[in-house]
Amino acid sequence: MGLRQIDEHANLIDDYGFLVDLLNMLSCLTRVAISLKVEDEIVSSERRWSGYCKFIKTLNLGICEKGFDGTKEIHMCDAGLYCYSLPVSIEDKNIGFIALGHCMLEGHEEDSKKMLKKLAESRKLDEKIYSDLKDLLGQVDIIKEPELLAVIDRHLQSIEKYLNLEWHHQKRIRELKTLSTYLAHSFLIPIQAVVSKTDNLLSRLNEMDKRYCEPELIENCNGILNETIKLSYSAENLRDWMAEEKDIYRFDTKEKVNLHGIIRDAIELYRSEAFERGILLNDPVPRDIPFPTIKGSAPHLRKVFINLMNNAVKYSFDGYPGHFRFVDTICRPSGKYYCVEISNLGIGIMPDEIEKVFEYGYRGKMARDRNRFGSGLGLPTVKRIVEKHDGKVEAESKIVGSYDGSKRNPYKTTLRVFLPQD
Amino acid sequence: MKKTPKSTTILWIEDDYRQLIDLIKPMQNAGYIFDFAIDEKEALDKLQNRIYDLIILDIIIPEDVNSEILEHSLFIGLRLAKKIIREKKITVPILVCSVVNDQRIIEELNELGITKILNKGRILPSQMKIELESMLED
Repeated sequence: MGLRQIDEHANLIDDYGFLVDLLNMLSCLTRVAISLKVEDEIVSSERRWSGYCKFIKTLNLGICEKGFDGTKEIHMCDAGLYCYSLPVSIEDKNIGFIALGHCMLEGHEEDSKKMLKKLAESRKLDEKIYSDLKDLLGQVDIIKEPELLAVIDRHLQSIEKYLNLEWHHQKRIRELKTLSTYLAHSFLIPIQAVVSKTDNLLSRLNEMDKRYCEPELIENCNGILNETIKLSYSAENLRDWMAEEKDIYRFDTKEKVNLHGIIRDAIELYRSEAFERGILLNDPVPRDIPFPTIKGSAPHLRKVFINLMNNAVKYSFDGYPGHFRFVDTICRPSGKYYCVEISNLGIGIMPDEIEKVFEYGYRGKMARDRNRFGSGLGLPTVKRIVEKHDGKVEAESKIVGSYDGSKRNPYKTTLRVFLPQD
Repeated sequence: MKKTPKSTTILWIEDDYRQLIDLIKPMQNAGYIFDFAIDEKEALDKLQNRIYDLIILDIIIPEDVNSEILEHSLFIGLRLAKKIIREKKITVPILVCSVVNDQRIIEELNELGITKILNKGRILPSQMKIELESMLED
């Protein structure tokens, strides 16, 4: 029974990469060649495999076909190599067999050569091929029988255990990817429903005679809309992280993106939340050149600036009447890039964490207080998207003096996004 | 002759359309006529019997809600898009409205000529109306 039959959706046959890596590692540990046969495919470690066995395989002479019936004994294959084989089971289902050895045994070298000669005669190989095979056979490892048995005794169970663990790991990753899509679905549908209802309500309120419509109602509706939209971005961050899809952002199709509009949208989304905390979000200021268009994926770039603005607001110290805090957004050319930098004053990033904050799940040491819950998904998402646009991200955080009456010093933190100019 | 909203019929293929009905409220208020299909089978049946001016398509939909085993597989909507365009040769504009953001799916949709894709989660009904009307004008 093959892997394909065990789980039709598993595509493990296409995922030989992990098996080859695993067998190579095990081959290093056991110091003998290892191969795993599943259906008609043979996956092997590279140890000594590239010579004799590979050649034999190329000639389609059917190695590893004899004696692999699961019996625990050393046997010689048609090609004259000694192996030890054992059926391999995953989840109690036999998926094929594993063979260790592919070597000559000390004292039995002549037997191997005779077997090769027999093979050449029975398959009517021409002299040149037979000669090449004899040369390659001479390069195969020669080990003592007790050594091969010792290897088997020590390692066969571990090999099967490793295979099982790796198989479960791969299965788990596939399940997570599927689950993440379903989770996104179950979160984003109700979120979309709330967004739609609120936007429709807002439209109705805006159409109403202002004498009968309290401004607070419109304000609240806007608040609900903004918070729900932020929630949708958080749900997407979570989904993308769970999916662990390496090429989820490939952006083969890029469009011309109005960067100014995207940054403005991000600022608008957070303006009222920031204002309630005494923080003013300054409009983006272009320096040296007007706002350019950038070639990229608009929805993803939108996500970049939403995440950056979210962090800038979340980690700013609150202002108070007569003393506002500011979040500044400066846009300027920088060599072959166009740079957008967003700065805030508040909780900083320690020098040794500047790189770590771009890792999934990492939260800055100073940011871990009870009032600020961060998922650790925002900046990694930013980095991932920007890099897929052939850009880069930088963070800088510096103490700027003592905070009024507070024990904590404020940091000026600047996140710079560099995107290639069109 | 330009069609009026009341003579424009749109098929929305969406299993959660009752939950998301507010998304098309401004369109309905403007007089556009909507028809709904909740699975692939119903969508194909409706497309067989009627000509629509536009299709809104979800990607994660069931194959057939009446089947004994509900196959709510991923990406049946993509298969449906292929059937509509390649097999049925239906040429009406299609807007995809889905939570799916897998770039491979998006590329496949683009290859089919579907370029208008809205991500569910933060589509404003007012924005949806603008998108749909611009597609109907083209």
